[in-house]
Amino acid sequence: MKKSVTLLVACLGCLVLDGCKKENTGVWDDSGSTIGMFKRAKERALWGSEDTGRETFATTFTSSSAKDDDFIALQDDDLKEQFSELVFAQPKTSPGEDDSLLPGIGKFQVPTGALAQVFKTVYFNTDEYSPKDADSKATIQKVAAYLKANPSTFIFVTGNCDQRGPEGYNQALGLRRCNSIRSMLIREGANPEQIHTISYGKEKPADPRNNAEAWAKNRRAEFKIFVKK
Amino acid sequence: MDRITLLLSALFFLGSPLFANEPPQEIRVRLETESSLSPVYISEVEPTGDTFPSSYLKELEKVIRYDFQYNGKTTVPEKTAEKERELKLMRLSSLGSVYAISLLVKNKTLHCKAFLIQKNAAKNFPEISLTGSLSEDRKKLHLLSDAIYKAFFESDGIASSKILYSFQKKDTLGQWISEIVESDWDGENVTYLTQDSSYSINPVVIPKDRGFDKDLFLYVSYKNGQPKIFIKSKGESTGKKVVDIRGNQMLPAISKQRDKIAFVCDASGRTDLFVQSLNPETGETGTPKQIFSYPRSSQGSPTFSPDGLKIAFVSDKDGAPRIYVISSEPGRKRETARIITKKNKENTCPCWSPDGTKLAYSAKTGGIRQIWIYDFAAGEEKQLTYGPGNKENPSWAPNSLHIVFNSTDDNYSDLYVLSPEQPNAVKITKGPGKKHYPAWGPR
Repeated sequence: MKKSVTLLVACLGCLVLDGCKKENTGVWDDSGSTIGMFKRAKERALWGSEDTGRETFATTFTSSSAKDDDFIALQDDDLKEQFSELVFAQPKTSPGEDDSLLPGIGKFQVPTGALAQVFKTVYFNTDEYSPKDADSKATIQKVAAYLKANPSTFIFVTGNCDQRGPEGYNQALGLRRCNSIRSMLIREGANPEQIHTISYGKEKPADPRNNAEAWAKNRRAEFKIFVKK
Repeated sequence: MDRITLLLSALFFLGSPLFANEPPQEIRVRLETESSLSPVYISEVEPTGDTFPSSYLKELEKVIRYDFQYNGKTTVPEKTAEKERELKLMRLSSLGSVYAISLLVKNKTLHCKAFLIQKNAAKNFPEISLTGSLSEDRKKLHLLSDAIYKAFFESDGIASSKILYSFQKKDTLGQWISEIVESDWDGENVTYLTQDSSYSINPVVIPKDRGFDKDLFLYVSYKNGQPKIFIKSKGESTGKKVVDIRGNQMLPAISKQRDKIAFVCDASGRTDLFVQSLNPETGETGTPKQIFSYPRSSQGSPTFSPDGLKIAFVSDKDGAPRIYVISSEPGRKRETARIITKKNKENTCPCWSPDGTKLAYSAKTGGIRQIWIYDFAAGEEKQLTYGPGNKENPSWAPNSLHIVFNSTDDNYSDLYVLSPEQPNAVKITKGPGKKHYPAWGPR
């Protein structure tokens, strides 16, 4: 009887472990979530609470909804509790298009002089989409403050990657970087309608060399500005 | 007795799947066809009458020799004086080949006769008037190669198919520009399809259909700033925007049925996957539909299954970029994406084969990006390429056997073609400038 019970427990133990193993074949799913948690913790440490940003944004602007007419959005309500993330839909029109009051990028300028001190290039670590240091935070705050004080100023934020990553994926990563900067600017109080994004992926390196120094220069977000008169 | 019980319990644990959770031995295989290459003897182009210089005729001969060397079915043995004599004397069994092609240019007209040696069969092909313009005559010879291929194998060849790609270089002001260009499958006859002096990349060939044989393609243009997707006919000077949605649109793909396009877009503020219906002829489009979005992740590089019902795409939602498959027509809730690539990190740029059996993609292997395929029937990932150079953006030929891709290192980015049964990929582009994002078009 004692032996039977012991064997039964052993069998039950195997069944439980087998179930655990099946969970573990999706281990990279769990790792991904874990990595995501660490990244979010780092972001909060650098940038402060997202709740503060959300509150500021909500009181200042009415966001253009991601469920607007121009596309049919997923109804991913099931994720809202699991992830706290603030995303901001793009402005309805793109500069240079027929229905836009803004010209194309050819009329946007690289900031010079005093403006170059405001609109500094923001840099990233490898595979990351949050700016890498506290200097970047200062830049984001200055840019946001400038945009708030100058409602006729419109900007393009470009997202760029270094040469090492895959080409197509880097186009998507560049998109994430420029949207990350845009989100931070909006959380600092900038008007979403003043900020447009462009991803260049790794198509337009600032430094064409292929070494660590060049890679660091190429993982960047840059600004171009246009003042509407 | 208690010790035996404990031992049995331990054995149960040891035998449990927990301890069997070790990765299987990796098996490297090459894409293999069922048949090996058959030799086809190709004669020297024999001139008679008032014709072109011998150097020109040699160039024409090279076209046919290339088409039959790399078509995946045949190999071209060296010409010898003895074999040329045997061919003229019609002693074909002495050629040591399964097939033979004899070429004669008489008064600027090319005459071609092909032989199925083992079956004692021969076929004369329609005469071809040569123009003396190598680019024009190349096109005619590629069509001839396909006609001969069809006669030999009763299936369509790829010699007259085209490859589109992005060509990046610096302009006179030192700014990066990129245009869409097209070449023959051997890399020759390069023609510019866009000349915006802007930044155009990611060409996608729109499949032809009965009654609609206009050569249309999609591409991404940055001419106004944000990348947008355009459609263009090869004969037109400007393209027309096909996706009318806020934000950036990139990395387009089109279904084989040519009724919908997939693309990546940040309209919502995230890097999401969208699908939109499209009629390439009328330009009529539907409302774009967000079909995959995941917080704090990027989606990229969609490719349709041949039946148009599924999309394979790249996502980094679980850490490193992997390739997943979802329905191309999901409901309003995010679908659970089925993971395809498990062996390697950084799996990107999937391309579904026209016959639906395989997915070609790039995966970081030992620190270098190599071309892999996923075999849906076997459920296996197989490495195709080896050696230096980061290889990406594979695109299948219409025969689902050949693959074109770009390979990049510090000094170059060029296109290569993988042919079945050939040990090495063949480089088809040359010269300065970055050639990438190839798209293999139909014949």
